[in-house]
Parts: sequence; structure tokens; C-alpha cells
Amino acid sequence: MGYTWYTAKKTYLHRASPLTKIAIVSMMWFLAFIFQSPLWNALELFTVIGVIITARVPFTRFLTYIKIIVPVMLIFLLLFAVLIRGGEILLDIGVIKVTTGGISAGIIGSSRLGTLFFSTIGILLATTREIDIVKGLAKLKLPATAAFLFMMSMRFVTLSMADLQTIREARRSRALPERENTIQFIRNLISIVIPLFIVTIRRIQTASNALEVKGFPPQKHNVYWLRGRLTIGEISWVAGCVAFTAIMLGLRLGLGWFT
Amino acid sequence: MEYIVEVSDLWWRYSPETDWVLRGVNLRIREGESVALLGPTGAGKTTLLLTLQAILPHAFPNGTMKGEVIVDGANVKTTTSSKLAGRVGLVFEDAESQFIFPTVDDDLRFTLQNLGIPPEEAERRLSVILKQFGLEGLTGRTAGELSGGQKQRVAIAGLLAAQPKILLLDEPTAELDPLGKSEVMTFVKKMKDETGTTLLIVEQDIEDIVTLVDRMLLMVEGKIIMEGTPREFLMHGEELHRLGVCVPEIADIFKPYVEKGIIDMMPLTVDEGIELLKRRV
Repeated sequence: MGYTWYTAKKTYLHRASPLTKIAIVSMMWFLAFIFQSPLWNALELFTVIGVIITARVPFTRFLTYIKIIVPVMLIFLLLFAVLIRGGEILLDIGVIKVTTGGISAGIIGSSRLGTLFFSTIGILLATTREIDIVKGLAKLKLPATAAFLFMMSMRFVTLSMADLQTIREARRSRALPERENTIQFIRNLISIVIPLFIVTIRRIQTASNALEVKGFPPQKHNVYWLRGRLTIGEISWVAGCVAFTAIMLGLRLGLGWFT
Repeated sequence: MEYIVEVSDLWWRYSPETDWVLRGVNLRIREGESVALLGPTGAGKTTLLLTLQAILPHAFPNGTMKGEVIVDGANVKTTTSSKLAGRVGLVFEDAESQFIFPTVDDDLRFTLQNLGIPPEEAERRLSVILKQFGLEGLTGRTAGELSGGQKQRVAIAGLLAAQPKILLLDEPTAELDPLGKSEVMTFVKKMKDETGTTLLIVEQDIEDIVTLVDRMLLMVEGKIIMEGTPREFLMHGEELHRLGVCVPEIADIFKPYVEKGIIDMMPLTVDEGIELLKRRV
């Protein structure tokens, strides 16, 4: 379990400017909600995965998270397929009716979730050092505190996962069952959630104090390291992503495409 | 010599519903002095350090503060922790959570960047600190790749690069194994000898700091109830032990010799004790 999402490598995603990657990921997020079609949403998800594979971002680095997100995507797929009804009935077992509309909604829902996760982690966080993300966000004139809030939130996910691992190991060493039946499983969750909550609160308190001790937030005249000049390449990418998103939104709202 | 820390009749509670954590604390520390703050868990030691760093009262708006705390000429009621950064450095017990950035390099630079130290000067200072304290091998690593002792050394080095006048260490070895403890204490000794920074260290174990500090304070239930040199403290071994402070066995062994006048002073280390006895023989 790593303490950072970032993995040092020499790929085109690693070489790309943080701001460019932030623009691309933001575009992916918007597109995931502009698209409302199993074909387009799935296509977007596979595009994101394709980008990550071609850039050779190591999947093993965030395998723990994939083990969580993929089952959640499958649950989305199943729940939507069963709960949402519309179109042709494909399967009819008593009260359970699986329709084409339900399957479409399931594919859209799970693809959206996958797109949000894989684009943020695979394209941005795994290929960009935390400090560069902060600098990239600061270039967009985001206040230093807001940029840090984003960065720290992302870091806390990895730290909490490491804490979760420690708690689970501690439980195992005390011969506590990982899971039995559903009631037992829910009851066991309490002994994971409460220590995790306490550890996280403590971490937040120390990190917040440590930030201040290290002079954060910097005085206005001290923010030289957060001030960066936008390059032509970055401006082009940001403008391109904004324009592309706007066109897609226009096509969706005006002509009803991607539904 | 001037006092760099002046605490007068300090009272603090985290909210009106809770008890006072600090109850009339008076403390003065001279520039360049090394002081240890001892006491059992819950005595208010960490709270006092948070006050000296100006984290309190600002982090707890519902808290009540009475009395005055002046640190390097600044009143903590009217200044903030980030404004004191660079003059005062605080290292926490939890080594890991104080890493703002996961990599050693980024984290070491962070304080200097916030203080507006120009990049060339920041790099120069860091390279001096890393070389001086033998941390060059740790650059490029992430916090997860460091041992507890290494994390604490990096945390201290990051603050030292800002050249603070006072360094506050809150049980820096509490979560470490004996090897990590020894690493950190050797580092702190070297830092004290080579930089002359004023030091206030909170500890529960006298043995680790007995040769490091000039003066010791004992805090119990929010009050400083005992003050003296390490030798004077070791003469009160039983009392300290009863109050939850770990005292080295050397204190029990040599106390009768000192009381009977066989040796003139309480030794701080076993070697010093043997030397004193040899001289007597």
C-alpha cells in the first residue's frame, strides 16, 4: 500500500503538464455526465483505460482500489438492470424483470463511475507529483488553500487505505472473523469503522497543525513557488478541452445526441 | 541573557464545559537553553507546546485562555502559527501525519517555500542541512519508505532549514523502537551542539534526555510542580516514578552514595557513575 498515488515513470502522461492533465480529466468528468448512452459512456470508459494502458501507467500500483471499484461497478450494473424498467423485457422471473432500459442504465452508471475513477487516478494522480498538482491548480488562479484541500483529500484516501489495512491485520491477529453472515458482517464493520474514524480524525488534526507550523498558508508576497506562467501549450489544451466539452454539451442539449 | 519564551499564569481549557488543562503555568526559557518538559499522560504538556506555537488559542475558538504567552517577542493571542513559522518549529509525536507531501524532497522544501526563501537559497540551506545531519540518502524517497526514526529526522531537518530560534519537540520518540529512538536523540544532540537552537522537548522518559538538556520541568495536572537540573531530578527518582515518569535505574543505584556523601553528585550516565566511584576509591 503506497503513501502516494504517484509512480515515477517516463511516459507521455508523466511528461504532460499537470494543468493539461487537469483539463483532460475535468473534460472526462463533464463528458461522463453529458453522455447518456451505453455506447458513448462505455466508449469513454474504454478510451480512458486505453490512454492509461498506452501510457504504461502501472495498474498494480492501485490494484487495491481497483478491487473495490470494479465490484462496485458490477453492483451498479446489476442494481440498475433490476430496478430500472423500460423497453423490451429480456428476463422475467416473478417480480424480477430485466429490461433493455435497465441494462442500458446499468452500463451508463457503471461506465460513469469507472470513468471518474480511472481518469482521476490513472491519468492525473498516478502520473503527477502532488506538488505539481497544487501548482497546476494554482495556475488556474485557484486559491492556495483550495488547491491544498484537493491535494490533501487525495492523500488522505491513500493514507486511510493504509490505516484500513493495519486495522484489518490487527483484527485478524485477534482472531476476529472477517465476515460470516450479513448481520455478523455489519456488526464486524463497526470494529473497523470506529478505529478508522478515530485514526483519520487524529491524522487530520496533526496534518492541519503541521501545515500551520510549516508556514501555511503563505503570506501573499511569499507565494512565488505557486506562481507559474501559463504556457501556450497549456492554454491550447485548456481551451481545446473547454471548447470540446461545450460542443458536446451543445450537441446533447440542442440535437439530442449521445442519448 | 534574554528570555525567548515567557509564559505568565497561563490557563487554558478547550471549551467552557471542560476542565482547565493548563492551570497557572509560569515558564521562562533563555535563548540557547535546552529544557525538558516531563510529566504523565494528560498533564497538559502537548497543550502547552501548542500554545507556544500559537496553534492555541486560534484552533479552538470555543477555548478559554487566561494569562500571557510571549514567544520571541510575539504574543500568541495576536499572532498566528503560520506567522511564527520560521522562528518557532514544532515536531509532533506522529511522524507520518506531519508529512504534507509524500516525498522527502517536496516536504523538506515546503516550509522554506512558504516562508518565501528564494529557490537558490532554499536549495543551499537544504543541501547544508542534509549533509550536516547525514540525510542525503533519504532524498527522493517517499514517507512510506522511511523508518519511524528517519521520518522524525526528516521532520526536524525540514524545520531546521528554516533556521528557527526555538525548536519544540513533542515526544519525538514516543512511537519509535529503541533503534529509532537512538537515531532521533543522536540527531537532536548533534542539532543542539551545532546550531545552538533553543530547545523545549516533551518526554516521559528521563533516560533519553538526561545528557541533552540543561533544565527539567515536571508538569502534573496542568501545573509545573518541579524544576531543576537533570542531576537534581534524578535525586527524586521514586517521586517521579510514582507520577508516571520513567527514571533510569542509575538514579536508584547512586542515590544512596550521594546521600551518604560517598560521591559528590548524581551521575547522569553509568560511565560517569563509574568514573566518580573510581575517583573516590
